[in-house]
Amino acid sequence: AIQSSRFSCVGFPLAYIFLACKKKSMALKLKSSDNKIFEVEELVAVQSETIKSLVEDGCANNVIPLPNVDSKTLELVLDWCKNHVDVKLDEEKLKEYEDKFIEVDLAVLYDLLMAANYLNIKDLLNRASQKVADMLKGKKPEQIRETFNIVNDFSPEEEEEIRKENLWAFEE
Amino acid sequence: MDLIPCIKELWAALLPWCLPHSKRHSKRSNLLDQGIKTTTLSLDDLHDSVLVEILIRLPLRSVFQCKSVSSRWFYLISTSYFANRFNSHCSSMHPHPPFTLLIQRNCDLFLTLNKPEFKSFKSPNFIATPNPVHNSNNKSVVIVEASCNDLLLCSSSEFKPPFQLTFYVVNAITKQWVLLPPVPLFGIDFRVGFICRYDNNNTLNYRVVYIPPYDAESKEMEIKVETFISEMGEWSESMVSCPGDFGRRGVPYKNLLFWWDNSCGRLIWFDPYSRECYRFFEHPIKLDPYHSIECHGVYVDCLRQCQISKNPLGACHGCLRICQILKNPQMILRLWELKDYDDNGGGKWCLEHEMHFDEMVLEKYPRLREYINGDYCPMLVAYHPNDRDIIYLIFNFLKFWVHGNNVLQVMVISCDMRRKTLEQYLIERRALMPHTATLIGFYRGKENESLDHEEEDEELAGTMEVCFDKKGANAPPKNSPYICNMTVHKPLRSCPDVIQPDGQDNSC
Repeated sequence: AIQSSRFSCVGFPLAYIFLACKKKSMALKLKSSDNKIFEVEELVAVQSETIKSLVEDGCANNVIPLPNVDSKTLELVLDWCKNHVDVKLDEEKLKEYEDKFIEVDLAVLYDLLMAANYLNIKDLLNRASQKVADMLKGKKPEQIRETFNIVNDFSPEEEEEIRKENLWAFEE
Repeated sequence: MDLIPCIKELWAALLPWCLPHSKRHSKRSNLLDQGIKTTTLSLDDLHDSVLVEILIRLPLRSVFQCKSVSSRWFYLISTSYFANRFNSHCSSMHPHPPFTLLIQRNCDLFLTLNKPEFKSFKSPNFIATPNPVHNSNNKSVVIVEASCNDLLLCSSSEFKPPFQLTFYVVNAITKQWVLLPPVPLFGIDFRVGFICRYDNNNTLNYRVVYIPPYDAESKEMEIKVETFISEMGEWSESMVSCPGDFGRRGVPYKNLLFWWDNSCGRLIWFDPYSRECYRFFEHPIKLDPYHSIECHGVYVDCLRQCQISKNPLGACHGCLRICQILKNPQMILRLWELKDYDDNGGGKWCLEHEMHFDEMVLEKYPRLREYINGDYCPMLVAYHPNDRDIIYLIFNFLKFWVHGNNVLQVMVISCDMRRKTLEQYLIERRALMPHTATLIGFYRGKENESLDHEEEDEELAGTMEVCFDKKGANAPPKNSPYICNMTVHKPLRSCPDVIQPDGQDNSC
């Protein structure tokens, strides 16, 4: 009888903690720019520093509007967050996932970058930036402009001058 | 009646193909739609901060190429924000400072290369621009006093009224420099220290410590220390109890500046952030107290003439080290490392290497034996910033006159203490005027960062030389590649034709 009472003593706070945890990983509602509602666990969503600060400030009771992120991108971002919430996931698998995740069209990559920047998700921003940087690497300025749709607003003279100034970087 | 089963059949035939297909490719088609929708989107639609995040991940060479992509890119890459982000990203990748000041030289001179892959960079266009007004009509010269990470501290003294000393902080990558307010010059025997760090907001702050000459013998209780605080943009004076007689340049280590006190063989430190006083560590065992920590050579008496690291103290792989070379009669090198250092001044000097020069292997350079057996005694120049086995020594072996200038021939040797090999690093000649400094940088290929398991050797990125115009230049350098060569990969290490700026022919 003594033992069982001791157990119940331990059991009560445990249950309490369990409840508290469950309460903590409550679902949040996120609204994308095209008005789609995403219901996610708080633990997943707070990987975004932006959302985290909203939650901490107690502004996350209702639907959180994310006017800068469309539903397609948000879906991807949340998928990323879900896979990064479980810290026990072994590194190899995570890396595999990340590599697969980031294999997307350039347009999607842009969306991801902007979303990661807006939502302030560091690891996603790093991974996506690295991906673009890898694409930039080894390309000549002309190729960069072509691949990434950038308008050359230099006059030929200006461009020549910059080239001259940084000649060492252009020499093979 | 016929039609319905027919349709059913068709449906059944289509279904397995249709459904999984649509399921499998739903995401992809979404992406495709998006791709079509956003083909006009360009990299330029990203925010500045995102674009910077991308560009800092490029090798330095690509970064400079990207400057010519568009005016926005040019602008972004030219900002100090970019440089700060670039530097802090690099330092997060390479935890130890990649650069070390190897040699401080006294003149414009040229190099003889001994190893093809160790090409040095030299260009007469390497002109940093000290304040044009300050230097317009006098002969003050600019000296590289210290380096910390990739920043250099340079000084220029004015030996006529109003007798002042001007410091410049030069950013190696961004071609930027900052002129500090001048301090009074009381003599050339001053001490300097330079330290920089990035704070939590990734902004750079630095401290310049200037200790005017003082009489170490006079048992004065206090000496004056001027500290330049970058956040405030001004010098701040403090009095600290006299620590003894120590070397010219402080070694930055763990946000503190360390000096070696030659007179009593002790370590001194100064905290430039809190400006707290000095402490002492124990004396290294086996260090010969009666012998100056360096060999007595041509160097000892002529401070100005040779700025070659008079400091036996240095940092390597995040450890503070000290080295003594003795000759009695055999040449011995001993190297101590500070272990278990803590902020309260605790720590222990441990003898890491004891090396007899007789045992050294000189396969490639048999002539070196002459110098070792001769009257010449090598001196420590620098510690390899990351490789604990390598130090750089210098032999100072000839002195002759060329065009009325005193020229010393100097041989820089890289010494592998584990493999016991000496290799000639570069030979150089020096005249009298201090204009250049050689820094060596080490570069770890980008590939390594993703492949941690594959340990690759670090390779020399190239030496870099900073050269100051004798008269002081008038405008910021327009077409100078400046110090950018420093993280350039092997194929890019060019060796431009050696040009003597004033047409002097310093041939032997």
